[in-house]
Amino acid sequence: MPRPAAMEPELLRNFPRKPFTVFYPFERLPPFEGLRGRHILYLKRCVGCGTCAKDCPSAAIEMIDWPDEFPQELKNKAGKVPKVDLGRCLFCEQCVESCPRDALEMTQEYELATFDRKAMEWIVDMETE
Amino acid sequence: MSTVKVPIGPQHPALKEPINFTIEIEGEQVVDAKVRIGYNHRGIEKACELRTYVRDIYLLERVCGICSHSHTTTFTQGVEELLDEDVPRRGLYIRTIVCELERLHSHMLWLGVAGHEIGFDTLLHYTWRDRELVMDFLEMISGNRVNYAMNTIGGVRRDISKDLIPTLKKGMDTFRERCEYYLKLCSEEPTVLERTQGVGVLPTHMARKLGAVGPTVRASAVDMDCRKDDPCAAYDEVPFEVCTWDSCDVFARVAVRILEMIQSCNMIQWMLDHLPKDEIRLKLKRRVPEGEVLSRYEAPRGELIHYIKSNGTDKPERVKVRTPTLANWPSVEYMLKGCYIADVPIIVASIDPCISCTDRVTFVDVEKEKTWVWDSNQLRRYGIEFYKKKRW
Ligand code: SF4
Ligand code: SF4
Repeated sequence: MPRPAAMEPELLRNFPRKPFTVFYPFERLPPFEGLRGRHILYLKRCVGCGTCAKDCPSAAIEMIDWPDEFPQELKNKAGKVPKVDLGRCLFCEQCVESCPRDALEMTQEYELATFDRKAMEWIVDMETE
Repeated sequence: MSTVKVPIGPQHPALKEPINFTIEIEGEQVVDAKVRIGYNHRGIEKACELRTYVRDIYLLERVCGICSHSHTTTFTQGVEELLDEDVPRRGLYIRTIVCELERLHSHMLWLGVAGHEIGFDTLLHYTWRDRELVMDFLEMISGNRVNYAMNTIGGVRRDISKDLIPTLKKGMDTFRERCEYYLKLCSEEPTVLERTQGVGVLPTHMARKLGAVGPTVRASAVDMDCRKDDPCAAYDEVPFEVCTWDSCDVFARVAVRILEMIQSCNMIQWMLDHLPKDEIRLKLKRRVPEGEVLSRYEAPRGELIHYIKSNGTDKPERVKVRTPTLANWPSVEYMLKGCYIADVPIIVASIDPCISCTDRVTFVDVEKEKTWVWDSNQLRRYGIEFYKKKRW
C-alpha cells in the first residue's frame, strides 16, 4: 500500500548523525590487516629464480641484472633481482605466493599516487635475513 | 500516429556503458526496440589463451568489476574439474562466503542505481552507505574492496580468522535488518511503487521462452537458480530458498533482489557457524590434462558460464565466457515494447546490465530527419519530469 513520506522516520533518525563519509586526506581510516600495498623485497632471501616474474599476471616484474648500488656481497648465484613496477601492478599478491623463498612481501602502504615514475617501485630491504 | 525511430547509444541510457538501442516510438509509447551489442570488445578470451592458468585467474577477475569473484569461481572450479581434484571443504566454504558477500554488495548497489533511475536519490545514498558494511567485510577477508583475488586453482588464498567470525555474524544481522527495512520501504514508498509496478512486464512464459536468467527470470515467477539446480562450491550443503515473485514487473525484480539479500545473510551466518576445519587449498600441478569443461555458477546477475578447453599444457586452448547480461538482452527488447520513453532507463536498469562505460544517447526523428543527442542524465531527467507532470 502506498504510504506518503514512508522514508521520513528514517531521515529524521539519521538527521542528528555525523556524515558517514570520511574526509580523506584530512581524516584517515587505518587500513585493514592484510591490505595489499607496496612490495618489499628481502634481498638476502632472494635467489633470483624468476618465478615471481613468470607468474605475475600483468608482467609488472622484470628480472634485472644485479644493480651496482646493491651490495655485491649479497649477490645471488643467478645475479638477478626482481624489479616491481607498481604502475603496472594489480596488487594481487601472486608474486608473494609464488616465491619459494618468501623474499617478497606486501606492506600496508597504499598511498602510492606520485608525479615521479621512479617512485613507483618496490622497497628493497637489505638487512632482514 | 506515425512512428519515430529513436536510436539510443552505442552509449547506454541507464548505465554508463556502450550499447545501442533503436527504439521506435509512437508519441510517448515505445512500439519496438532493438538491442545491438559489441561496442566494448576487450579481447579477454584471446588474451586468456596466451597466459597460463594462474595468470588467467587475475585476468578473468577483471571481466567485471562487480562480480569479479563470480568469474574466478567459475573459472577455477572448471579447471579443478579438468584436473579432477576435490577442493578441501573449508576452501569451498570460504569461496561460497565471498560469493554471497559479493551478491549482497551487488544487489545493494543495484537497488541504489534503481533508486537513482527513478529519481529517488535518497534511496541511492542510504543503500550505498549500507553497502559499505559489506565492502569492509570483503576487505577484511581478502585485503581488497573490489578485486578480492580470493580464488585460486585448488581453493582459496586466505583463511577467515576466528576473531573475524563474530564481527561478520553481527554485521550480517545489521545488514539483514536493513534489507528488511528496504523491502518494507519499497512496498510502501509511492515513488517506488508508481515507477516500478506494472512497468517492464515480462510474463512467465516469455521469460522462459527468451531464456532470461538470474533475478530477471525469478521475478517472473520461475524458480531457476543455478545454485540449486546445479550446485557448485558449498551450495549443496547450505540451506537456502530460491526467491521468486510473481508480479513479473520491475517491482518484482526489486523484491527478488532484496529477498535474495536476506537469504544471503542467512547463508553467510550458517556457513560461518559450520565452517569445516580442514585445509583451505590444495597445491595443484600447473599442467592441466587435455579435456574440456563447461562450468556454471549463479552470479548476482544470473547464470554465468565458462567453457574451458585444455590441451595438456599450462595454458588453456580456449576460454569462452557467457555473462548473464547477454542472456537477458532478448527480455529487455520484449519488456521495452509498449512502455513509455520515460520508463526506458529503469527497464534497462532492471536487468542490472553490465557492459562498460560511456555517456551519450542519440535520438533521431526519422520523419523529420532530425537528430538530437541526449546524454543519459537528460534521458533520466526526462523520465523524472514526465512522471512529475503526470502526477500533478
Ligand atoms: S623474489 Fe622469490 S620468486 Fe622472485 S626471484 Fe627472488 S626468490 Fe625467485
Ligand atoms: S602483486 Fe600481482 S601484479 Fe603486482 S607484481 Fe605481484 S604478481 Fe605482479
